[in-house]
Amino acid sequence: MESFVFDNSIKILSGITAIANLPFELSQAGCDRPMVICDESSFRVGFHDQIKQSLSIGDIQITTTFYKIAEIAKDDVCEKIIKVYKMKKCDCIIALGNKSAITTAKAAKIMLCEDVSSVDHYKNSLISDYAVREVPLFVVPTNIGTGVEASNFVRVYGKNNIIYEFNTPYAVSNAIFVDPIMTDILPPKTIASYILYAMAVAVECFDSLDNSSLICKAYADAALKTMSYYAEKCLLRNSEMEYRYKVMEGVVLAGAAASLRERGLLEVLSDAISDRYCANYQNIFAILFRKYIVMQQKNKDFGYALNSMISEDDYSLYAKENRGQKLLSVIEDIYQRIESYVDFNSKLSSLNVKKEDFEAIADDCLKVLNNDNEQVSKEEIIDLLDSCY
Amino acid sequence: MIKEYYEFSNQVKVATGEIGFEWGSSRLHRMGGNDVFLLTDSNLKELGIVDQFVKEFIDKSDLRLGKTEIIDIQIPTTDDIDKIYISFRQSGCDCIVALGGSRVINAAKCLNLLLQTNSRDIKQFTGIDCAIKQKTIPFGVVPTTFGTGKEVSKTALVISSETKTPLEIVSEVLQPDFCIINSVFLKTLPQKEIYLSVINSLVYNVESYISKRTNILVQSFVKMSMFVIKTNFQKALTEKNEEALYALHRASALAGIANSNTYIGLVHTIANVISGKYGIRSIYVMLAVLNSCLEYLKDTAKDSYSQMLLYSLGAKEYASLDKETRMEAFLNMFNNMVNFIGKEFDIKLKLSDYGLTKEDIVEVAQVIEREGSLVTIPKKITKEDIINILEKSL
Repeated sequence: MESFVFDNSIKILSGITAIANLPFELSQAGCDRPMVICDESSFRVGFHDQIKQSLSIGDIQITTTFYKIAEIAKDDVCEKIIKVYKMKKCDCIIALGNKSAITTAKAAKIMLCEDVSSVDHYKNSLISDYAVREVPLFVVPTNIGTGVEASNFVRVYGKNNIIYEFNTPYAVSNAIFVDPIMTDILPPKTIASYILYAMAVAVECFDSLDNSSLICKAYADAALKTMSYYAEKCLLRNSEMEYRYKVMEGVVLAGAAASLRERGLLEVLSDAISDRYCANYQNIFAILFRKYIVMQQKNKDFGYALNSMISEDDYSLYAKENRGQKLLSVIEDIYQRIESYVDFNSKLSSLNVKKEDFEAIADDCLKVLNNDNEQVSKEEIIDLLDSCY
Repeated sequence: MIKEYYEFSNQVKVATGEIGFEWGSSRLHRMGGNDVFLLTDSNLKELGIVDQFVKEFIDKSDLRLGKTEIIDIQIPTTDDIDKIYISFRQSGCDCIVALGGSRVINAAKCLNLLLQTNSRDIKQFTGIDCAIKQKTIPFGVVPTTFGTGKEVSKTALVISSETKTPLEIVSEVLQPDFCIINSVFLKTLPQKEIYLSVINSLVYNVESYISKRTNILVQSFVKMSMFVIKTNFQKALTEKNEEALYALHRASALAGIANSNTYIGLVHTIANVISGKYGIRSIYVMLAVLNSCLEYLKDTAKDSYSQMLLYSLGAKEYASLDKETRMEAFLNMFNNMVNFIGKEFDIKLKLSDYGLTKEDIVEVAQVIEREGSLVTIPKKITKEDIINILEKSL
């Protein structure tokens, strides 16, 4: 009997007027002094004002706003946030914006929960089991993001290129608000990589039919159903708020699914390449997945994800032994159609990845994977990189 | 056009399998718990399961067993809840663990609600989201049966001691922090109870799927739950296979999560009212009214029934039927299950077998009509509709 722990509480409020529920959700958590952490773009285009207005209807004022954040969660920014949070006596965080805002907010939350004022603390210490303070976190994504909203995994970039990785329930969000009016328009190329990434992550959740990861599969199923219907519509008509909103929702759901499973080869490899070349993680993941999924078809349960990507009537026409092949063809078809719409970076070479670095990348990967007991060889990793080059 | 707004929450942490006890007791302690107020029932005590649990969960941890409270009442009254509250306060305990079936979990959730809201009167929380949490009480649930999803749901049911009517409470404040799913408790379940539990889970699934409050996540949870039930039901029933029982247990939790986001539907509403009024076991009432309720809803739920057929019977069977016959096949599936269980385990399938008369039907229909949960069913229902359903089940 396999053992699993699903310790990621997830609450999603989705649709028009989602953010109108902010005051209620804050009050349920006993909060009325929020700190808003947002990216500068979300601050300037009016999303911050939307939040302010929603909160004021519930008689809550924003205590302070921090919007000078970097592209990635950085130690000095997190440390500044913590100082301001304590000084202003805030009692919760609202993360508003893109991936950088959300991951920075989560990193700050972890440190606040532990009452740690410097990220350097984690050079020699692990996250403790006992939180010193509760810090409710409410997340309002504003673009088709990366699925970090529900994630317990956070990376903080410290001095001297040190990367701190946390996988902790302290990073959990109390509630995620997916509101159509809070969606921002993005370049099609960026949307394409996020769509493919979310689809890849969700399909990966069906890597086995063992019953232990049912909750993960439920989120993945919802993500795939949403993406299958709206992804291309969004790509072709990004100006339509409905399509942006539904794809954002799909990405949030895929992220929720991913947060409930262990990080695997693709996650670790994508991180390794992203760190080395400062390339887009989601783009890398999507490139790797396209080839990786072909290698997975020997898995006896492969093909079940098909049920989430085509209609019930169509699914029922395929015998179990043919579903894997059909799934591969559906996925490849999606990639090809997206490539025909946008100039999507579909090879690692287009991201300036160098072949001569493959061995070093594989070594970096194996250090992490072997700690997690993942059974994969250096040759397999290099083969995968080669096929994606 | 953007069609809907919805909320979906999945707040209860779930630990499954052998590490569950160690994880759960550690979590309880980390949340500030030391002395455990353990709610359970006398049956489990007699079977030695309580002692076994205390040995594994409490003795091997930093927790202490403060007091064991026995809950044998099917659905507690408001007075019963008050007694449990007083017992907790007198015990000096600081955390709650519920070990048992739905009656134990239900009572524990009510206690948790009172403690977290600093209240004494449970009646004031009747309805939806009427409670605001004032503090956190460490609270974990270890279900020893499956089928109700009570371990993850945000609902509880009490009977008013004054009016003898059911009071349904819906609130996130009811929910435990975690539940531990371990099939070790299910091995002693009789076949009949396994079958009844599976039907209960399926009914929760159907109600959630067709509810007005349904959404994409609810339907995904239902789909996974039904798929697992389909795959494991026979093995659990015929071989008492531990892995299969474990799978059904988890499928039931998924059904519970789905249902906690949509609230109960027509079948459970009727069953709760009649059960509370006449003292009949709720699942037996459900069996009696199930087919009539599904028939009543078929014109609005046709497509949903058809989709759920795929998850329940599988692709091959689904493909062999044309669109028009799928709905009938879905209804027949439940009809066959009910008839089988009635025959196999000698369970009465008519309300008249439990002593209800036509006059009783009319009287109880008036109560059912006023139930708030009926606003979520996909069809506007009248008192006459309810009387028709009950008469067909008589």
